[in-house]
Amino acid sequence: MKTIISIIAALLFSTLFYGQNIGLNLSVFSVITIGLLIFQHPKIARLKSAIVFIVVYFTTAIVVYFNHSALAIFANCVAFFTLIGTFSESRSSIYIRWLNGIYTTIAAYFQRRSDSTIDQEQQNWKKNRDYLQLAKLIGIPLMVSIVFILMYKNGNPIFNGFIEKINFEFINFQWFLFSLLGFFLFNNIINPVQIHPATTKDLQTDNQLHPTGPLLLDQLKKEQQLGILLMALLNILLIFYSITDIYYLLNNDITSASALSSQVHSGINTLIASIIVAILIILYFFRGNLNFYQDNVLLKNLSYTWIFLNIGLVVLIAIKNTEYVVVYGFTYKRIGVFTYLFLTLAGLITTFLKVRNVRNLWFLFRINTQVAFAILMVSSCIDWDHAITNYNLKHAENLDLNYLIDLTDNNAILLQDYTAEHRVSSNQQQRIHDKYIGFIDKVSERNWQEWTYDNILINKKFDR
Amino acid sequence: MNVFLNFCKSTVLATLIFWMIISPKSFEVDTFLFVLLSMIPVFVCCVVTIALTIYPFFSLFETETFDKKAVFNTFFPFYAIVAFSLCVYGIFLSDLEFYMIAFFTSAFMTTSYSWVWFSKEPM
Repeated sequence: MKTIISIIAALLFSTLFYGQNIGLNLSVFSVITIGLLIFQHPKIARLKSAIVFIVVYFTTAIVVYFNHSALAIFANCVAFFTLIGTFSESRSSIYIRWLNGIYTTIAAYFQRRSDSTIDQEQQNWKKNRDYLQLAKLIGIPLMVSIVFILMYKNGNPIFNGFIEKINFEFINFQWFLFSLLGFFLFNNIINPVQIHPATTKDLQTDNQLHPTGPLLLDQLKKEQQLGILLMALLNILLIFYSITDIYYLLNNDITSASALSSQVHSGINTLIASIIVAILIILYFFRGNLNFYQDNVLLKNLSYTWIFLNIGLVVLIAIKNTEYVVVYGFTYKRIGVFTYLFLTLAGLITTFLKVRNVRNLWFLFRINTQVAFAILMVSSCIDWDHAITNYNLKHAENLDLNYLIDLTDNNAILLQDYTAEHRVSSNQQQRIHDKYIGFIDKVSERNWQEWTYDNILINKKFDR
Repeated sequence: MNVFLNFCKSTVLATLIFWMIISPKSFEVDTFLFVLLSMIPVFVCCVVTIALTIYPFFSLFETETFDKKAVFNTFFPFYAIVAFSLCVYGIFLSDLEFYMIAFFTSAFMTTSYSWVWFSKEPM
């Protein structure tokens, strides 16, 4: 039954993807995958975590059709591996799901081959087989025939012509191999496998920190003294840095691109260094028994202060970046800064939770990978090229039209509409026109497998 | 462990996969001779790759309590992920060149099978 399903899925796979670009086919593939997984594993599919990841994967499949961006395709692949990993082991952490998902997709077949046991009858049959005789029977006649064919070919022009006429071009062998790849893929994902040591270890490890041995009060006291001194010093330094930064922000009217850029980038560098050091120091002091030491309140409070000061630093850089965006509009780098700041904020909050709730390092890994996954999924829902162009054309005080022209074709219609209503240089107008025509041509030439939402838009525009 | 048999089986498999993929592009009757000749460099590649990247896992970690199956379950998943990533990277680095796709596909399949063959051998 499973083989028949895999064969049908493989044929669909080659119909969807053979010689095609990504478009509607990836969305259809996602739906087929979800359907197969639910059909094969109905019990797992009813679990809450499986339902969540099915919905996420399905959403990314729709997003690929509407956005057709590299980010959307990447998010769809990540969601695919996560879903397969969920069907492999639904209770594991998200990064273990990724590992299981990737492993299942690329090598589940080999795992099953290794796991399979041969019964006694097969073993006896294998033992009784005379491999040497088999090799002789196939190999020697084959080799001798080839040598003789090659000899006769040179000796007889009619025979040569006959041999030359034999060709297998009527068989699309590459299509067959592509279908084989599809079969391999579906055969792998229909029966998800696990990376045993990693999954078992992950399931055994909880998020709570436990005492590592008897509390040696004298040693803990000394360690705490060092911690308090270090954290106090770092807090004072960061307060001083933040005050000077706020003063500079309030008393200097920075509007030039280079000044704003330098402000944001130097701020980001400081932030990276500061937060890495902050988290490492906090993790060092709260790695073990100091968490269970009764007099650790001051050290904990200093750590919280340090975390909140770093959050303040995040806010300051966000303000600078917003100023940059208001004046010069969005770019991928500026959006990247916001993403980084958001991830940093999540990292600081989870570090705070780790110290407050006496959690271990695994808690940090688990929660932060989940946050990163959520951000990836949410950000893939936005057509960034379109959003950047739309915002900059409407709101940016200094418009960099060349940057917008260099983005992908997703903004071609917006730019074309803009040139119809606004004056732009002839060179830019030509580039926008070329981009628009190229986009229309590309969309019109697509096969049904490659369709995206743009096809509907273009058809509507030209009333086809 | 019968390492030599593993080398031989891997050579045959790698040659088959490689020529199966490239055959629609360049296969004629004369090519049969090249298929046979190509087994020599393929054998060298298989020996080097298996001896350096697969065999050490079994020779170093296999004990009476940690059998071949355990070695396979512990190390193969990560080996497969790394090998697959390197193969995909190699294919993209070659700008999706046809022969490189054939080479890396046969490399990944052969090394994976080599793991399976080792894991199924008696202690």
